[in-house]
Amino acid sequence: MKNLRLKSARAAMDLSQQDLADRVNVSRQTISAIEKGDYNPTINLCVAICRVLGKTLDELFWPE
Amino acid sequence: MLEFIIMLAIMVVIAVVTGAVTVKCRGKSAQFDERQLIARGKALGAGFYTLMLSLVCYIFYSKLVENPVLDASIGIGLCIIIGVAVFAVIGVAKDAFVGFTENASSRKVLFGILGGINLAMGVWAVLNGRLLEEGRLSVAVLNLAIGVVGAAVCIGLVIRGSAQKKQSAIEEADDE
Repeated sequence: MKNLRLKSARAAMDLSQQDLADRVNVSRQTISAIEKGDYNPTINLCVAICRVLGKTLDELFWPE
Repeated sequence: MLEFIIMLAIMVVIAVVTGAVTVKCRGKSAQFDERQLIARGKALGAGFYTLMLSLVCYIFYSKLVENPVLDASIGIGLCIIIGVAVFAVIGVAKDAFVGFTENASSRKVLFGILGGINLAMGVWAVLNGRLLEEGRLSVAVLNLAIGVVGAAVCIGLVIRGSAQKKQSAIEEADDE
């Protein structure tokens, strides 16, 4: 399932996928895969993304 | 025998140079993110089982065929190359072959050179009628196989790199 909330949060902070990837120390393709719903990140990566975007785990990753 | 030793020495030199260039390009540690590590694990598994399957096929072939065209060293060598090829193809397809902190260009050049040299050696052997020796395939078939795999990896990396750039541009346009 696509993660549109992550995409929105990233866009709201004016970050490209590459910018976000650099900040959480993963590849751009991984961020893209997470947003498309092709990859489920580990909890550590979820927490790192939440910290960068200033959101909680529920706000970005809890299933709707 | 002397030819074999010379060929072995050349292979060792190529392996050492390739390894040294790889270590230099990667730095102290190759950085693969969690998605890439999972993809590499699956690619290694697929490569391993492909190697096992091809070895079993070779065993049956060598037992069933009276005058096999492939002798043991060439047959096993081909099985290894097939296994490595499966790993490489899946790795490239999943963007897990090159670490995300690595410069992919150096890998493209490395595999391009490796593939090119081996292809050239293989084609030279074919043109000089040295592919078959005493009714059996010679070492040149391994050069051809390595050349094809090297060239395929190089081309695959170029294509994936280009596709990723396009996708990145589309994503950025979509964000706006």
